[in-house]
Amino acid sequence: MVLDKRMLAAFGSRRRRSFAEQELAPSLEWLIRLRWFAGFGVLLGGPLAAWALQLAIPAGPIAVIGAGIVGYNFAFERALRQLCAADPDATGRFEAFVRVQVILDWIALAVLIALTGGAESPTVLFFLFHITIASLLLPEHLGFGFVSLAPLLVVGVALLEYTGALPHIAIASPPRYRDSHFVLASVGAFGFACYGMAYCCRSIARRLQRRESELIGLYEGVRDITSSLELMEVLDRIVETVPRVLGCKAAAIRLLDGAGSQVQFAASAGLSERYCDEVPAEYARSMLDQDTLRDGVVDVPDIGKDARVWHPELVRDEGIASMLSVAILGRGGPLGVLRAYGAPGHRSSADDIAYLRAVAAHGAAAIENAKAFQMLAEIDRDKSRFLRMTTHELRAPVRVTEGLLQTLAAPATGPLHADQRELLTRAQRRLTSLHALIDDLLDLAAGKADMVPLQLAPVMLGDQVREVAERLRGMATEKGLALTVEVSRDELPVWCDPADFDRLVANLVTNAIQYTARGSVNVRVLRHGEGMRVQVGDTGIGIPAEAMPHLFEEFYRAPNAKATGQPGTGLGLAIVRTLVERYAGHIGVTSPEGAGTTITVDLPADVNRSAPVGAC
Amino acid sequence: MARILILDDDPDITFAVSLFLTRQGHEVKTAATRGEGMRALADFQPELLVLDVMIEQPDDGIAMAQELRRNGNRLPIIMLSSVGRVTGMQFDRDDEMVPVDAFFAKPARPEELLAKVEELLARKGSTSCS
Repeated sequence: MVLDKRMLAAFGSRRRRSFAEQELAPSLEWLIRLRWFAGFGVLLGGPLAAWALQLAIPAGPIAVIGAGIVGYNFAFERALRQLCAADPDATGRFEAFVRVQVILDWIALAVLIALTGGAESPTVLFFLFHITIASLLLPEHLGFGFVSLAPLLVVGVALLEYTGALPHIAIASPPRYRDSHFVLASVGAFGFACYGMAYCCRSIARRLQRRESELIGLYEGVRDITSSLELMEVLDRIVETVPRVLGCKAAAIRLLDGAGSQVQFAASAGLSERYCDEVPAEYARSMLDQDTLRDGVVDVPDIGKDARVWHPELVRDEGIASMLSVAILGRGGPLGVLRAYGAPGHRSSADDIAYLRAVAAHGAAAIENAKAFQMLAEIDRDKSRFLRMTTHELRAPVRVTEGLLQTLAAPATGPLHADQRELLTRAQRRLTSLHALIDDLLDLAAGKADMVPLQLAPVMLGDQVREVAERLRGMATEKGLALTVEVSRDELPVWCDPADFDRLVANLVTNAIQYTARGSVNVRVLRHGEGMRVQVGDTGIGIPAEAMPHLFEEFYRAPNAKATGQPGTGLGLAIVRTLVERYAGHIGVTSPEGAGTTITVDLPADVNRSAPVGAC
Repeated sequence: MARILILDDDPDITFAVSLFLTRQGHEVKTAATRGEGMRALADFQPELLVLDVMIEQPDDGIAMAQELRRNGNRLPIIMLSSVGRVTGMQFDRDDEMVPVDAFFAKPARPEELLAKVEELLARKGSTSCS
């Protein structure tokens, strides 16, 4: 569990720590646990072995060594707890901690060897445990340094005994510590064993680390690739991921055109513009691409020796020596080719192929999703354009009819009896609401139609809000409502189209006035982080909880709003939402039961800097 | 002259229809919901019902006509609808599904609606005489 959390935390962090680094703290716990056995083993096992095997070894000093190991292990355990509590991610301090532990262990072991027969001591083999630990826990250059230390310590002890500088404690009879052949052979064999062991550990660790980096690369790559619905962004992310994980020179995606006759560069990383421009794109002539789409994968380890590379000079000039290509296969057929380019000396492994295929498979899904999204966005734009055009066409006859009815109602046209007048009034009222619906539809379509260039300007929202409030004050006064505007002093100008913002605020304030029978409507404009917040609060009928999820849907009106008998198209809040989205803003609604409604709109000061929005 | 009930949730429609029916000398009552309509059927005892397809729910009018027929009520019903044009649904007179006597798409021309009212009332009168 600890590990999983750490891995996840590392994925989220800016600088990713390697798996081995993250493993350090748990590994140290493990090392300390092991050392309890070693310490107590020496403390009790040494004297026990001396007694059981009748060995002439100094049981007392050995027990002292054991007690020493237990003692410093106790100190290490406490230190580790403190280190973890302070900052579990401080890798540098953990590494220093490992080094101290390894040094102390090795000194203890060297003394133990000296006390148990020097070059003849069977405890020499214990070094192999330590070498395994050091190889796995320490960085590569340090690991091998420590490995060299083990034979040196043993050679040192042997040499000191050989020269008589250190008294020899004999465990074999006759003692052989002065037999130079024996000493050289055992120390030499030990040295080989040390290096062999270290090499094996290192190789396994390195392979695991590489695998880990591939898996993380794949995970992050897939996450990046699938997190966007913009086609170009998806493609760019794929080609940027590949060289990073495979350690190759470059990567590119070439997509088949609709007719299947061209394979054009759609995205590349690490390739020159010249190369991308000059590589021919005819699919019929590119054997490499044809083979890739037929077989799924083509590995060209040496471009000079493969006839399918039909522009070798161009490739060589680019510094490319090898190519690994995989097909990008969509649900409806091949989409194109993903290719990794290797510099001289680069070799592709089976793992590389598997990795590239996995990226291509995920990439295919992401590309198809992005294409589908693009198509939907186009359809939506077409729909909005159509809506705008038809609505616009509707406006003219409605206006004319309004005019005709006004003429009919005018006294100059002649007298009407009461029933006729009532019919006329009803017809006029219906036309007025039709007119409002058309205006709302046009506003909605205008908000959605992002082909209309925005007239972006730095707008002081406070001034705009005051303007809207003045325009609507009559409507509020008629209902006996107080309409107030508060603007904070630290106001930031917001880059937007003033007409859009006017429409947004007018919709919110009109709604608030319409659905408030008594009390007030309050508009506040205040600073919110790097943007501005506009809050429209009222003491009106509020919004029932069941209406909340539908509030911003087109043509939706809350049941209590309908029940008021107020005319409404149900488009006002849909328009507001569209406008807020257009400026990458955020809209929120609170309506505690019986306490009115507050709608909060947050707009970034500069939409271009805050989030990518298609409209801008 | 007859008692006619108009059931429609649009006050402008009930106003306009009741206006010309009243002018023809009929006694008209209006209702805006199905419940109100059922009560008026019992209290007012209309001889003809002008019923909208959509009252509160999209097919409330049809459900009400079916219910009346199930209960053996043979009251002539003229159904008004604007549904077909808006939703693409097609409604027409159908003895099983839409058991009404006449079907008009809104807006119904007053003279046509009047003619149908008179026709149905006359038919009803002759049926009851025989």
